[in-house]
Amino acid sequence: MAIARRLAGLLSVVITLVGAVAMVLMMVHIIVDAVLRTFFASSAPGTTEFVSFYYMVAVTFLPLAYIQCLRGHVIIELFTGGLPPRVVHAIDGVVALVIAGAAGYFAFAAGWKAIAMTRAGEFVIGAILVETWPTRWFVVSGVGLLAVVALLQALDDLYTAAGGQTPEQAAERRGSEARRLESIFGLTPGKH
Amino acid sequence: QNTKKIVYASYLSPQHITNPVLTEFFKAIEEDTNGSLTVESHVGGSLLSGRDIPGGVRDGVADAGYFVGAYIPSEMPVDNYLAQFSLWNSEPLVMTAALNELVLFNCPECTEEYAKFNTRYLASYALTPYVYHCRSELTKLEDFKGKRVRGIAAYGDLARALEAVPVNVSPDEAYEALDRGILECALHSVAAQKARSYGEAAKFVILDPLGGYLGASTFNLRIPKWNDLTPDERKAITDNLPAMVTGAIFNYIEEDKKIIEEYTKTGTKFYNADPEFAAFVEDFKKDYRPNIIDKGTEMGIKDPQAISDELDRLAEKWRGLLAENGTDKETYERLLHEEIFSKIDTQSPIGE
Amino acid sequence: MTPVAVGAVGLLILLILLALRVPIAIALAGVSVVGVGVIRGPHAAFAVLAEQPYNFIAHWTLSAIPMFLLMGSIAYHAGLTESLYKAARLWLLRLPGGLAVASTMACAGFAAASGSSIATSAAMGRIAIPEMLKYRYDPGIATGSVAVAGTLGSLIPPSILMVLYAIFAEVSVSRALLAGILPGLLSALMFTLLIVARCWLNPKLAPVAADERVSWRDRFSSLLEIWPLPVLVLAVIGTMYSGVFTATEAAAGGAFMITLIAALRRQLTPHIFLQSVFDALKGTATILFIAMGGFLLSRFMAFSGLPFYLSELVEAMSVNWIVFMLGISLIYIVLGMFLDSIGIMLLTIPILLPVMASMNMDLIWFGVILIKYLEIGLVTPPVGLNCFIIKSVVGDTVPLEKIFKGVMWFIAADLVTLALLIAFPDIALFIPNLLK
Ligand code: NA
Ligand code: NA
Repeated sequence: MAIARRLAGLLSVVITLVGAVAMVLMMVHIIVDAVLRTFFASSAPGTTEFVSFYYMVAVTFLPLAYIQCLRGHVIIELFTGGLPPRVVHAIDGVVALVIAGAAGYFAFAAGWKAIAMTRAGEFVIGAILVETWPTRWFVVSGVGLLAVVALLQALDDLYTAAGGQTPEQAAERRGSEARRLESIFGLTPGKH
Repeated sequence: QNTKKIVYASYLSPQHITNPVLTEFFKAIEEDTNGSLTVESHVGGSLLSGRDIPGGVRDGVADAGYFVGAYIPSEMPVDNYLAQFSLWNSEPLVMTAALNELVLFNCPECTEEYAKFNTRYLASYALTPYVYHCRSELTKLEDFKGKRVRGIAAYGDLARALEAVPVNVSPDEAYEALDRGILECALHSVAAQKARSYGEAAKFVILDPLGGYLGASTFNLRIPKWNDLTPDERKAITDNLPAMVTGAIFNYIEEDKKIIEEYTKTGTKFYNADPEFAAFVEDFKKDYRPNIIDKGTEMGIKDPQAISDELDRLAEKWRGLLAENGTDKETYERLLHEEIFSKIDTQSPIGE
Repeated sequence: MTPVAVGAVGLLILLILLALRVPIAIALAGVSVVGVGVIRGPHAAFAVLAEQPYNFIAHWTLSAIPMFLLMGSIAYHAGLTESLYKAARLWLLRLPGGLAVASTMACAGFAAASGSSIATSAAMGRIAIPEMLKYRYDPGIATGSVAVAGTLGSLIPPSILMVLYAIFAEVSVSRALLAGILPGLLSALMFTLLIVARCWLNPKLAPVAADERVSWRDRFSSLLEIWPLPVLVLAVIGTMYSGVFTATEAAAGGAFMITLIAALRRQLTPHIFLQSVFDALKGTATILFIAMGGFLLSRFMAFSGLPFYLSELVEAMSVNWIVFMLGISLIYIVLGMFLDSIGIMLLTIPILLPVMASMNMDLIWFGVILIKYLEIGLVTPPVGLNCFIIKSVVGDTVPLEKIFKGVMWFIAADLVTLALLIAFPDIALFIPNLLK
């Protein structure tokens, strides 16, 4: 279990790094294009296409699993605030199963499309031809890993709900795992 | 009573001049089938975006739709190959008829492409020509040098040949780009003066035609849906296609005329550039033509020459027919019916 | 079950899932896909999921969101926000809720540099909220003011939403954009009045050290340090209006320029840059994942016909102008609770526009009213993207419920603004009419 969690966490971090590179490239690519256009009567061909199909897809889908590791996806806590911790763990366990199922199905659908588009060598034509099929796999990997992470979290939560560990132990371990993941990027845990 | 419903998806904006024609078309279908067949129309991309429509119809998300292959060039190579001929479309009536006849009956690769989307192609139109809408009065060839003009695909190549700088600005931002001078010229049909507010930023429209888009097909129906209809219901659709296509293309032509009148009053100058511009465009087209066949091969078209020849032949045929019979609305509609849409087989289902 | 009923039941199930702590993105997407499956069959539902999320995200104009998030993150992590708020505090010491007022004004200013509401909140959230919290402002006021003032982003030009409306309604883009200016400023004024009134009545919301003595010397010396952010905003606006950047590119321009400024001031280490990038990345993925869910819900609603059904109900009310406006308000507020702005626009305009035209209503004016309603929808629970972006910026420090609660007061102020805009169409039409 612990190894599976570690591995999933590590993979999430790795693909998030790819997302980070895309974030920086997005800025650079847009600036270079605007500067070439404004001052050099030229352009960086394919900027619109790269920004849309590569960088946007990367920055949206690749960090999803990492955010799930930190349980950072936005939820509404209003109605479950007063419940005992074990009940909350039971709810969270079931919810995490739902996330795993939904994300798994999404990854399956996206994967089906990704295979078709890879075979077809999907591209778009703007100022130049840009092959776009590789970014189909950003969706598959981001959402697929999200499903795996959620599944591991579901098992953990349900284990706690069933009395396998105390809520305090679970919270403690969860916290230390989150700190380790966040520290990789030099982020101060819980501050964002 | 057992009514059947066709869910139709288009991404044309709600006020688009084609929408009233489509509404009439759908109403006529309903009347001619005594209400056994209705159409539920979703415009403005509220159901499916331009990129989503063909796949959506294939998978039954919708039953029918407005297809534009340019959004998915790898999945609709033949449609995109046909779009390459847009540069030569300066006669919308001729090309509309030729295009419909070609795709319906004389282009097996076209039928095959639509079959991959589990779809029956039914009708399309060739748009009125694209023209440059500019911020300043460009007349001579050298005026274009270094100017930023909107253009992708073949129009990008044209811009480069003019020694202008082709710029790809998203349609949502084209007006503001024009307004602030990021673009010197935008490329669209005359109607964009109003529909996209270009008339407020670009007061100089060069009327020399740069070709009307050939890659938009208005009405395509999912094959299982087609098969589900009775022969009479199918006929109710095909019988009303000539009126729809005629209405749509005449709307475009009339709208362009109306806009020229209206916007001349608000200070837009519609003019022809120096003859050297038209000559340059002609030369460019001449040089470009042989490339198209190669491009077709690159796109994976099996016999690009055959499609090209067939399009030429049909254009010639329709040029003759229209010269002989006249170009008024009634005649055009009648010819479309006689020569094209009445020949669609409505009796037997299509093998899925 | 009729499709309209499926739509209504779908919304009900959505509410239940949200109450059960299902992540908002998953709840939205899940309900939508199942709903489409019920109406159009499982094959169609699968296809929607395989095709549409990717096509929705692979969109040029969305890039303003990550880029402005990055800009805000760098400004915050490099410490450029601190001096600004220190100065604001010294100058606005006697004004109840001074920092919230300053933040609202900053949002209005930044709205002139940003084409989208979410992007405005994204950038300003990072810049303003941590500083207000540092000075022990009530979290509801601190987050609510920025979530709501962010909505000025679509009212004050440039505005992607307004351009989209103008193209949709085939009205003049430039007049539509100009029509947003006064209503935007009026909204900002109403927010300001509300903040001052609330903080004056309840000083605990925005604590001031009443006995604190601040010399004019301190005040003026504080100004020496504040230049980076005002210069940044002016630079973004300047490069945009001089035709270097489009409204979307301006966001990348802002991120790039803040990087330069921070580097020139030697406040940017590789570590800070990396931190900012990851920060922005987390915010981007969180918000766009939810936006994708909201987009799918709009698709589901299109299939269900529920918005059409509601619009037709309102159409039937068009015999009486006041009843009609009330009906419109009601459906936009209800739809705004659940759906995304563009979705609502796509779903309602085809039906309502002809009604407007037949009642001789000014379509430019209606555009402003519509945008105002769509903006309110961005902050109403349960699905309020501006509140979610603020949540993703503040992390665990402020619960989402607190943000929604803080926003409620501002929504009341917005309803007053709307009443004024409806009663006095000239507020919107004055500037565009000047240029006719
Ligand atoms: Na704005
Ligand atoms: Na809302």
